[in-house]
Amino acid sequence: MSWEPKIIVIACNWCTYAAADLAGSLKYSYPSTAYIVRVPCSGRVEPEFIVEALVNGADGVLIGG
Amino acid sequence: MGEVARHSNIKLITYAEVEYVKGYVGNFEVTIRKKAKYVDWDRCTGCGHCIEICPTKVPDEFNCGLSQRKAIYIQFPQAVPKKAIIDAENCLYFRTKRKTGKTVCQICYKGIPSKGIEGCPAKAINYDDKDEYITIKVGSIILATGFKVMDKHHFKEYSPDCPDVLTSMEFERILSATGPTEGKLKRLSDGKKPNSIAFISCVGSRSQKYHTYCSKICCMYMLKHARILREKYPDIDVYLFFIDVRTAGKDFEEFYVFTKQLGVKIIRGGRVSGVDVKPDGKLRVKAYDVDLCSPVEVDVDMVVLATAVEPAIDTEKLSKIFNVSRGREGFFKEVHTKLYPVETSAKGVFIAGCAQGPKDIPESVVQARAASSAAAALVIPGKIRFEAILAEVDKDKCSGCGLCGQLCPYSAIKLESYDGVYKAKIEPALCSGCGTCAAACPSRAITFHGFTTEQIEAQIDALLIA
Repeated sequence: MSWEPKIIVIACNWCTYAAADLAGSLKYSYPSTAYIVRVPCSGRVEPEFIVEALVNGADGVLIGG
Repeated sequence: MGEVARHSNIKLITYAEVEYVKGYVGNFEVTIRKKAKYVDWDRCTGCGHCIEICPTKVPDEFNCGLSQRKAIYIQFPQAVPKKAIIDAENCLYFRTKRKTGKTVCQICYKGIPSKGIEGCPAKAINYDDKDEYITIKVGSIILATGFKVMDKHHFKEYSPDCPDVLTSMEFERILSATGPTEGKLKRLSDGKKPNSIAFISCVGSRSQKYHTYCSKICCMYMLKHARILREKYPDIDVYLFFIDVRTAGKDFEEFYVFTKQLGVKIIRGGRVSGVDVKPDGKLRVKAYDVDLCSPVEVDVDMVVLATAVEPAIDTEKLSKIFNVSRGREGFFKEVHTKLYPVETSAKGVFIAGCAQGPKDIPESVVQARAASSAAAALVIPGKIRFEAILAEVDKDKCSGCGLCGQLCPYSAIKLESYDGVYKAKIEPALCSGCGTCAAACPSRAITFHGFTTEQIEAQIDALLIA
């Protein structure tokens, strides 16, 4: 099995999270190594969240908003 | 409108503009500029004497510039309240005073003594009138600022400079008894009664070049005009050019079928490609007829363009004053098309009518009643329910730097003095729960309930352990 990067997705409740939800309803698939954390707005994202993710072993962080 | 003016719970403020709005839902403070009218409305009886004697004539906006009004005028015969105003831009007295400082004319005030004509019998003229600012406190606001009709001069292919090519609004005024021709149907070029009229739909609507939306009302009013013409002037040939006929609505399709039976000629199939003025003054309309499967050309005496419904001129300015977002086409945007159709992004501000998007009278009435119910239901309990997801400032940690206040997209954060020391304060009625302040606070003084830093970090940790 090939290596897949662990991605933390910090998703805005109103767009990215809604889009991920819609993707689910439409039965699209995305890699199981993408982990979604919902925030009320991408404005809520603190730089510490990104550091926290990378320090704990994430290979990348995607902020959607 | 008259009933509204007489209602004891409704205060009607006309000839005025909202300058700015402070406060938030339940506690709005609205500053209104009542424009100088130069006529004392407490005295004016609306008799119209001043209008008769005023010597200055200017194009009448209400009749789309097709006729003239005086510099002192009542906007239209059914205006509420029926009171005169002086148009200071064009009034001879004000024009001369601005240029030379001299006072001339004043006929509306003094009359013409040499001819035995008296001035205003109610002594209502007041040249020293000034703009007046008033502030009112309200709990909720409804924006119902209407629409404007698209200018026909965008469409060079339809010969807009020819006086016999009219917009539907101009045609409506021509049919009106108080319009420029006093209800007589005639060509504006030579004053003759037209023998044939063509109506062209979707001028600027449903187009990639101008507006992508359907203006919704045009099909029905074109049919209405056609029906009026067929009933009043059975000798006139009426041609209606449609892309396709959209008569969705209660009894609308029946109206269409009935109008067709009156002998109106309906040509469907794509956009009219052009209107040319022939040397004899006739207008040649070039189109395609999908039923005949061939191009058609019709010579008519008058062309009426159903130009698109557009947002009213000051919609952008109002959206900034009231902090209400607008859609792609510039109309005020509702929170949700189906579930929150009259609510806006600003809490306590509601929308109704064509300010929200093109719609006909029945729909506007429905929406207006919905908006007024929603506005009243919000205010009547005297209390407002907030979302639990809100930011809160820890006063002990707050250094009063004010960064959060600058960042807050809802202007919900203000610095307030606590025994002389300034600290941030979040107004819960305005906070929409985005969390920007909590993320930005250098002192970590803002707790964002529901999404605290610890909660989100715990989520990230838990996901990465797996």
